[in-house]
Amino acid sequence: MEGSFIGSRLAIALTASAHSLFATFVVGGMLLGAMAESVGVLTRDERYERLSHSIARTLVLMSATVAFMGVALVLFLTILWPIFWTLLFRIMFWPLIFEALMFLGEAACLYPWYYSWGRWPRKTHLLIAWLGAGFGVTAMIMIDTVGSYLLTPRPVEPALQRMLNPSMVQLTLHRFAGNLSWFGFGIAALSAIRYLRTTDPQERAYHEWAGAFAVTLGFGFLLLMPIIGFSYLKAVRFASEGAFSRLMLGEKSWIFVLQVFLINVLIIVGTWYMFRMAHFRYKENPHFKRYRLITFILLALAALIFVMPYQMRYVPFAAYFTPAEVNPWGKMQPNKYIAMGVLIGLGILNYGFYLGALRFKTEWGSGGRLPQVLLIILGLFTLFSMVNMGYARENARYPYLIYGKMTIEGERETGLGGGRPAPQGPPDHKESPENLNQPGPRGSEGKRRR
Amino acid sequence: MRQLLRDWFDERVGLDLFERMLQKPLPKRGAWFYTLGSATLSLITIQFITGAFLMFYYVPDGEFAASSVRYSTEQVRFGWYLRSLHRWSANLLFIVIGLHMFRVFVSGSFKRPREFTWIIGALIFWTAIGIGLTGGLLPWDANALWIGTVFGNTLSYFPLVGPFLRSALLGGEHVGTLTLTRFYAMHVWVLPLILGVLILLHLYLIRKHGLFGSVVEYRNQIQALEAKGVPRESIIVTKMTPDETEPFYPAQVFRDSIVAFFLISAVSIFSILFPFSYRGEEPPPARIIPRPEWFFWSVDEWLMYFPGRLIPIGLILLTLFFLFLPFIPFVERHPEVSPIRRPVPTIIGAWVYLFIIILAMMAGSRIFNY
Repeated sequence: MEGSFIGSRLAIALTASAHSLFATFVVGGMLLGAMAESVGVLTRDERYERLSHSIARTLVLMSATVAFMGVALVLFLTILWPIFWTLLFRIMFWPLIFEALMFLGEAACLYPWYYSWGRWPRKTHLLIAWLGAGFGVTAMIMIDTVGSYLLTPRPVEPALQRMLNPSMVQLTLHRFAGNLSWFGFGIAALSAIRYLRTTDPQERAYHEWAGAFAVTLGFGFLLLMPIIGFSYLKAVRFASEGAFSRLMLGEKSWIFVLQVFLINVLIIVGTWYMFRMAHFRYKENPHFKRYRLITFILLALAALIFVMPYQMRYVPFAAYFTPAEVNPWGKMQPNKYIAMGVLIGLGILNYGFYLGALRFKTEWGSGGRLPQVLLIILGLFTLFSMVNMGYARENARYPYLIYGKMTIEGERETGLGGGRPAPQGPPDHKESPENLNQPGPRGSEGKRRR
Repeated sequence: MRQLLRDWFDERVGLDLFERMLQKPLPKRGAWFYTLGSATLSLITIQFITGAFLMFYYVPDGEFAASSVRYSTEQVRFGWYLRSLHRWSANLLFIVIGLHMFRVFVSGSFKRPREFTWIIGALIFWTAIGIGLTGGLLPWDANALWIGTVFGNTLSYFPLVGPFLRSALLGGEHVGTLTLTRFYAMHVWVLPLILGVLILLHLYLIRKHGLFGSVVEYRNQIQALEAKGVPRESIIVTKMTPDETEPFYPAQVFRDSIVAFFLISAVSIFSILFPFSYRGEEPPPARIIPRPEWFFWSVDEWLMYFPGRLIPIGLILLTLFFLFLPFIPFVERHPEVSPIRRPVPTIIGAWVYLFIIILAMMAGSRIFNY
């Protein structure tokens, strides 16, 4: 029975991760596709038209996968975690129904958007694209309402409080920026692969341009992510302190350290790519090389401080290298705040230089292989980052399925236990040695200190 | 008779000036987009009128301020309505100013020779913020006291001049009657006077240079010049006359009136459906959490990112942002005005607006939940 329980967790985790990865890609894609087509209409530049058309084709292929994964997830939840799913569905009935309808609306716009290319009047075509993007974003907001409720629940009534729970807005904004960043870097990586596979100069020119355009979006929204993420964690801390402690100071803090490492890589590799692409514009400037060197030194230092774990005892294998349980350099305030500020500040500055240089770039396709390899790295690390962040968020509330309301033990006993007595309520769970994640003041941090 | 009346006035006040103003040619194509400026003016007018009526009853004294607000809200006939109109129009004013500034920025309307129009506009924005901030203290309830305290404490974090700024504004170390009288004086005459002068200057400059509109208004001329081989970089669109124009009266006056009517109706409906009630004598809550006005939410959230010893950094960055606004025309000097052809300012501008909205939303969520 234990094996089947672990299997059920694994099945749900894998399906949910795959579903959200594809779903976020589709939401970001609809937005970027509509945006690219609109810019194409305004500038009469055929490259935007081609880009939005290829985005539409990619999304058509992906939306079926999203739907399949979504259905599989609901199926697994119904069969494997029936108590949890029934409870959640009863609490979040309307957001879940509305989300499904919005997804239907998104698909109903996506297919005509792709298949009516060049046939429908331009304004109607654009309207369909933006309508689909609107449906996609609304579906995302609905599912974020459900997702945020799991971690920071509020009383079920009134409905407004349940929906606008403490982390709902932050999670929605985080996902919105994250979807666009993820899709931007994803499309940039795909363009890079196409660039490396072709030898046709015209094709290379197009794919290099598409990658640069996608990075404009991906990096721009990446810069927003740590700021929104900070606010998100603050909201979690106030509402579900045990979960916050588990994630930031407790046994799962190493996952967050890994996340910071991934963000650092994205910012540094993104900056490297931008410098490469902007080199043609600033190479004559006598200060350019010095500025680039200083930038990388500062970025490396900031990244080093930002990634330093504070709770060394929870970092896997750290005990082999140091007996220290905490690392004072890894303090959040002020060390990591300053490091984060340096990373974002330099990111904004270099992003501005990059945009300024792109405006004057007329020769495309001769940038060489390195920038394209950097784009592939960016795409891969964004993928890791999405998966890791999802894992971190879902694990923060362990052993709760709905924080403070329902534990995973409850589902095991009644859903798959087959005859074991039902749990007697919170006092039993408090006695469990594994249960270090109590809601309320101090939470697991208090237990850990004891 | 009509002609006689007109001649009588013309002889004494000179009607030709007004006639010339009414006949001023304006760009025709994006006409509805150009009503944001007049919408701002309409809302400021509502502020002046309702504010003047509220002054009839308000007593700027620590002992009587709250009860005078209560009296004007609960006893004076339609007092609640006037007060709600004042509050709702202030709320809407910040949205409209934000939209107006975004349109002007994206369309490149601030470029030569309209730099001073932009600078005056930015000063109007500062003044409006000041009026909004000082007005928040006047109800003199628990939240108002906290607004004063938080504002004073925030100012004190400025390096070197911080403590002086706080005591100058609060009239001491703590919020008291002197704070109230200072905020009142700033709110009802110092800042409105400055605002009035700035608005007159802004209107004069718009009258002098004409309304630029956007690049769409000059499409035919640009295409003709490009066809002749003139490089786009050397075309100074901001000095051209629009392809198609129409006089200010009657078409634009009609549009502005429609927008003003819509705004007044919206403010009125909001005031009736969601009136601002008196809350000064409610029992103090066990956990008082200061709640700034929504138009300061983004500032509030921004400062939250700089806890402890880092507050001065956040404050200085914020001040630099506001100080930077009037200098935008001198930073972006390139004659290009099309938002598509100047992607750097367009993307950065959109990014800044998005960031401000995101900050406000996150602060709103925090305030709603705690």
